[in-house]
Amino acid sequence: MNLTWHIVKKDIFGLRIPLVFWTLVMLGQVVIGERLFHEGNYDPAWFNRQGMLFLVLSVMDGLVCYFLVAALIKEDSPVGSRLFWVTHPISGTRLLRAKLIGIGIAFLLWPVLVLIPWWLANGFGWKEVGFAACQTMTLHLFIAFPALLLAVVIDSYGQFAVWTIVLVAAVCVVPGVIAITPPKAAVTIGELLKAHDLLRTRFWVSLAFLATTTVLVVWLQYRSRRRTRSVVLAGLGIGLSVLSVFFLPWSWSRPSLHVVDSIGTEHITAEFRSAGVENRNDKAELTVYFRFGNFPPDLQLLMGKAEIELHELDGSVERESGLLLTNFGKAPLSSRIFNLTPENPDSATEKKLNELRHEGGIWSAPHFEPTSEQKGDLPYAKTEFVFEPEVIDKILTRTSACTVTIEVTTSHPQVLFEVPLKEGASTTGDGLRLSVVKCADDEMSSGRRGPPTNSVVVVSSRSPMSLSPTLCVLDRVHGSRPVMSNFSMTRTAAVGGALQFERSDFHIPVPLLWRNEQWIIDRLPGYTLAAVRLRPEGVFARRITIDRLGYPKWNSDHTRIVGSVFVFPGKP
Amino acid sequence: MNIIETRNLTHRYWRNEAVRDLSLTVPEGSVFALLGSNGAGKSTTIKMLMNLLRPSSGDARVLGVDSRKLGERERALIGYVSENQQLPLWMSVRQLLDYCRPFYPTWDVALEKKLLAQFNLPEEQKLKSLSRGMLMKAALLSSLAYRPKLLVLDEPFSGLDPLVREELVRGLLEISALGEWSVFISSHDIEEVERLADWVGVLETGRLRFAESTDQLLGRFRRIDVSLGDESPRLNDPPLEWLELERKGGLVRFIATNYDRTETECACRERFPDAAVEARPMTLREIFIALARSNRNQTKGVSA
Repeated sequence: MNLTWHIVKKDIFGLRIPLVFWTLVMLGQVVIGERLFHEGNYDPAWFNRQGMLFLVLSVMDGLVCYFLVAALIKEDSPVGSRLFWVTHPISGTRLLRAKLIGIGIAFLLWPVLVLIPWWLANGFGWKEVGFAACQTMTLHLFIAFPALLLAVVIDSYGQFAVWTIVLVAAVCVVPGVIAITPPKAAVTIGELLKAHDLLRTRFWVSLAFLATTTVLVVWLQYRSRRRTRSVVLAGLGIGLSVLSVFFLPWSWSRPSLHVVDSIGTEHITAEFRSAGVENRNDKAELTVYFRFGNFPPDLQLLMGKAEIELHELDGSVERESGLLLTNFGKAPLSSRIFNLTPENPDSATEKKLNELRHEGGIWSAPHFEPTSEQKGDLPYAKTEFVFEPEVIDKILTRTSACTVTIEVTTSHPQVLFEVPLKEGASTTGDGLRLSVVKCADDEMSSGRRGPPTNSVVVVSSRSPMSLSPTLCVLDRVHGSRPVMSNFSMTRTAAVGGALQFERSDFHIPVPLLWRNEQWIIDRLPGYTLAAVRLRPEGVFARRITIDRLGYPKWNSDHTRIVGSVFVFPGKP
Repeated sequence: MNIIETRNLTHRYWRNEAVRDLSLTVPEGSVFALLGSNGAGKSTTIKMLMNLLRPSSGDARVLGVDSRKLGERERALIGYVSENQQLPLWMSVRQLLDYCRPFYPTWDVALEKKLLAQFNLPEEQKLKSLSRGMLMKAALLSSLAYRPKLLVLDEPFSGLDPLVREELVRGLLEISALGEWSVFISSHDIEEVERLADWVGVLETGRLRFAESTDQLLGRFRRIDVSLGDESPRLNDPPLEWLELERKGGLVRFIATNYDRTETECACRERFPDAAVEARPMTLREIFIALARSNRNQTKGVSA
């Protein structure tokens, strides 16, 4: 083992200068990450430019890692007839062990060690650090594998670079060639869900082929240095991998809709509410609405999926899948979890507002509160199923029986933290870091009508295992929620740093008070910024069967659409 | 015991046979020189012996072990220096020695220091900035310091200036006096080899022409001058072992490849009665050139 370490030390010492350069590339990402928090530029374009720079550094990180892995292998290449190590008492097994340890230390462990302080500064706990470390190591392992496979069968470093370009070009061209097929006019969600499962299977099978090939080729090459055999094997493995990616016909993903209700969801009932039809290109979309009963007050609906079966009178059955969309982020539950108790509105202000409403000159309410319909617990969901128009025509002319199986993910919303809404306010924890980088009056343009607004820009970072938080602005003085959640959001790509950055914009209507025949601006009194985490916790599934499917039009008596929120005034 | 043995060793690069049916033995303790012109197959032979190339057929045993199965234990007893070996050029001479040392339990630090001084190597200089001669010396030093049982040198003098060659040969001669090791050296620089080798093998287009002790080889080759006077020579039916037979006036010259004073003179007198026969010893270089020329003529004859 001492001799193995001796080789490892030699390799790492030999690559010390490129390794320092690589470390600087990684630290460059840290610098950009910190600039996002500290240089407080309000311009989203600036944030995007930094994001691009971050992406460029991430790509460089990967490229440098790829070529350094090859350089480490080439330091004592297992291919060629002029090798230094073969004429010394170094066995192939010992050399392979040394190379693997070297790769482990330099390309898997070192990036983690470099980034750990930054992760801790970004509010990572040890669990998040562990996860980020695994993610970073896996990412670099993905980069190291192809480098390893090529480097052990290619003679010189120059040829290695050329073959890398050839393979990258092939990887770019092959999907393009395969994509030259008549495109479908529209893809249904069901097809997408099935395709997703298929793609996932293809990805893992292809990866398994590549990994097995790499392991086998590397092992054989260090054991016997018979390049022709290794090249044939590598070609076979890569070929099978490519074939799997594009042509594997089987999907081995787990079958869906065999769900046991999670605790607390056993008594939830689901009922069919209504359905609507809308034509889209050469497809028709059937939107089905559901409503849930006995819904626990502390539970929030998240995403889900649904499968519909339409039983025709002639005995035929049409099946389709769709995504279940719920009202998360806008439910009354979010008012409760913040303990917001709206105070009585200012009587003078309310009187003036009513006057303005009557005159039709009001732009919007100064406080955006949930409507009366929304105040009750009305968890609802909808699913859009895409069918061929002839199917829809058939069920529009003859009603059909319908069975819908839905699978819904629920969450107990968790308030992570709440900070005063002022510039420079920041906090870290639970794998999150958040900083208010701007909080200022919006400039009023000359022709603009409307109440004054404040512009708030928040930059946040989160660990790969943390869900993106829902940010809410709260008015603690009036007990209201002037902004439901993030107004707009810009995200940066994160490849090497294991951090996701987000920039959120809020334009908060400034509360106005009517005093002495004029509006007084009440500047964000007691406003706070809260972060809520909606972590998927449980799943429940329901099967709803109805004898006859009804199809009210949009905004019919039975269904009313309010913006993106739809409510059900009562049973039809 | 033989330190190296090969049996019908053959290596093909696709359809070209670089080495064909090579069978030779290198006795333990000898300095064996494998001579041959460029492309004769010397380096390929050495690469097969060192397990840098796999033989297409036949086998080779080095230190009693199949060359394809040379393990760490055997390699610790072999020193290898080649003109085209991939050395870790980013290292300094000191780093190279520090790197190699732990692999060899028999590493002699005193010898290392002695050779460092003798070769006048700059310890802190990077290998990539060394001259070719210095690089060969550094490689030789790293292969000698552990007193290998077998030292394999592949074209060690190639491209070196005469002064460095002289230093290297002198170094090797001094070293050979230090311990009991066998040396296998391939070269086409015959003058240097002549001073070192006690066994010589000649490789021609991948085939071994012969392999024998230097003394025996030098003993059996003679340049023969036959002075005929006015008598007209009869040049018909010369023996096959006479090479480069020529006549200049009253003088007939040839090279006897199996010289035996009595037999050669007798053969001369058979053809040239009353002629004066003079035999002069040849250098290894002259022998090698004569053989190479003869081989070329034979090849031309076959092609014609």
